[in-house]
Amino acid sequence: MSNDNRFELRMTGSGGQGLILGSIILAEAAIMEGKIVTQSQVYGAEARGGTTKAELVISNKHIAYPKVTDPDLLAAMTNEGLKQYGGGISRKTEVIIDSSVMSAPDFLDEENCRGLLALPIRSTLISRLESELGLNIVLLGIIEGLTAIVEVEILRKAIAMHVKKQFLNLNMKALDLGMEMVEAQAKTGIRI
Amino acid sequence: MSEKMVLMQGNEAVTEGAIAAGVRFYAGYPITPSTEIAEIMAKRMPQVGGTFIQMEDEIASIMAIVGASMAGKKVLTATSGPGFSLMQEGLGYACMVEAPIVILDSMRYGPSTGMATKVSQMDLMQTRWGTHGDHWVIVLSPSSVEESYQLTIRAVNLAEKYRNPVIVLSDETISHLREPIDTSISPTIVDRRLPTEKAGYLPYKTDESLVPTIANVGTGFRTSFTGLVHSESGFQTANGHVAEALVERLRDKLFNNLDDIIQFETDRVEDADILFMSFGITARGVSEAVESLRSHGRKAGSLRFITLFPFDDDRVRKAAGNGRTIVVPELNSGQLVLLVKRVFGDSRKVVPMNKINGDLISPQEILSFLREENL
Repeated sequence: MSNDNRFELRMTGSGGQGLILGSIILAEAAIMEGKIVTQSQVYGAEARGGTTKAELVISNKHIAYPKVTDPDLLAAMTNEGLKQYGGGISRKTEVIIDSSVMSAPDFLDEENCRGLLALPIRSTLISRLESELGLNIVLLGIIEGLTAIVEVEILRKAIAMHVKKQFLNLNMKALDLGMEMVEAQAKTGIRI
Repeated sequence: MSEKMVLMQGNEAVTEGAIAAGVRFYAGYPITPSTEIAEIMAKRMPQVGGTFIQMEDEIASIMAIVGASMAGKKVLTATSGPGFSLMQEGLGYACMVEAPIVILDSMRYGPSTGMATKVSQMDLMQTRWGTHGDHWVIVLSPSSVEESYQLTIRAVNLAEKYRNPVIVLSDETISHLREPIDTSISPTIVDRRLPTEKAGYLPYKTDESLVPTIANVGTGFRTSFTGLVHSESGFQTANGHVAEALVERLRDKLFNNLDDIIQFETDRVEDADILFMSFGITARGVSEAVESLRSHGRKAGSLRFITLFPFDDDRVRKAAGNGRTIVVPELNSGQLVLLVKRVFGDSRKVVPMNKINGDLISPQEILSFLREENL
């Protein structure tokens, strides 16, 4: 959590990827640690493949304005998502993109963001876990790997609250995969 | 923070608040952004021994809760602008028959069907003047998920206590926002006063409280309800004196109890030279702007209306401190500002700040506005 006691996360992608659920899971983990959160999303007919956005603010103290205004982290899981909701970032913002579905955007550089982390999220999920589901949890693993915003075990507990038993193992592996991808970023990721 | 904290969406907090307050009847017609309330109530009402009915439209919805209320249930319906427009006829009827009902209006954007998924604060005056004729309603305005829970409980209590419709005026953002709330504290519950003597019972006879008891339909009392002007017997009359006394009583039963009904939240108004007046979600951007201004040495303060109506000019004047400039940010073309101008006339500089593009007013926008306007 940064010095101003407020961590802001924006995730954008395609409806059905589970980004809103991902933001709710991370919110619940933060609450279990005694933190204050506000979680919101773009609301509309995005559930089936439209462009979606989920936002989460985590703080140690009361959150007055509940929306993200200057994100610490922007995660874009589709090109369209980045185009639509990629604005409003600053040199404070670390940007994560899924390089298996989009190329590094040319408008991002050292002048307008803190850094770009391009990871082949979807393709790695498919090759390693033989699943197309769980992208949101891999992303949570990446966010956790980058920020250690909550205790990993508490994050696991929050995930378990939301996934069916038969998918729990897959989701735990997805979380591990995300954290592993951050650790291995020197080999697989591109950073600017 | 308590371990009992749970993450809840604004709409869910309304349903849980309603259930905690004793609501056991919900009739509604789902509409964005209030839909989750109907969805959750469909599941929750049977779990707590209550009744959920999806009606054919909003006129039927409000009439169903009026009927259930007069039969003794604590009731809720939820809607948004287009549905709230349809409910106006029933709202007037509820004022006239003095039905304790609670209506949740989650404001979305625009006149007509507008933009269903975008936020606004455009229904403020509709809550007060949407239905015809002199009438009085209580309007409460939550600015968080926690307050959606608390004020729904309060709305049910006030409806029962004053035998009057109460509107909880929420909005798209609060409806869909998720925040941690503590629902473990048992709320204070207020129940309607019931008559005891069947002999000589008159349904609209009152004591000094000016609030008649309610003989719940089906409890053996002879009772009568009508939207027409009625005497203590509940039967229609065209007697001007009776009409005058009735409408005066409908006003006075609330206005004699403003200390009980009206709530503000104030933040550093005492020494403020610039004061913000706002309600609902907009107050949260204001709160952060005030914090930022204070940290830069600017004496800013905030008055947030928790109760919007009844709106009492004297109480607003007293709560407002002596700040020379009052800024009124709101997500409409200027509704609250009309009331604020009425209170202060030319004695203060009252500046409207309006946003009507379906987005919230951010703290940064408030700070820029002050710079642009040289405030």
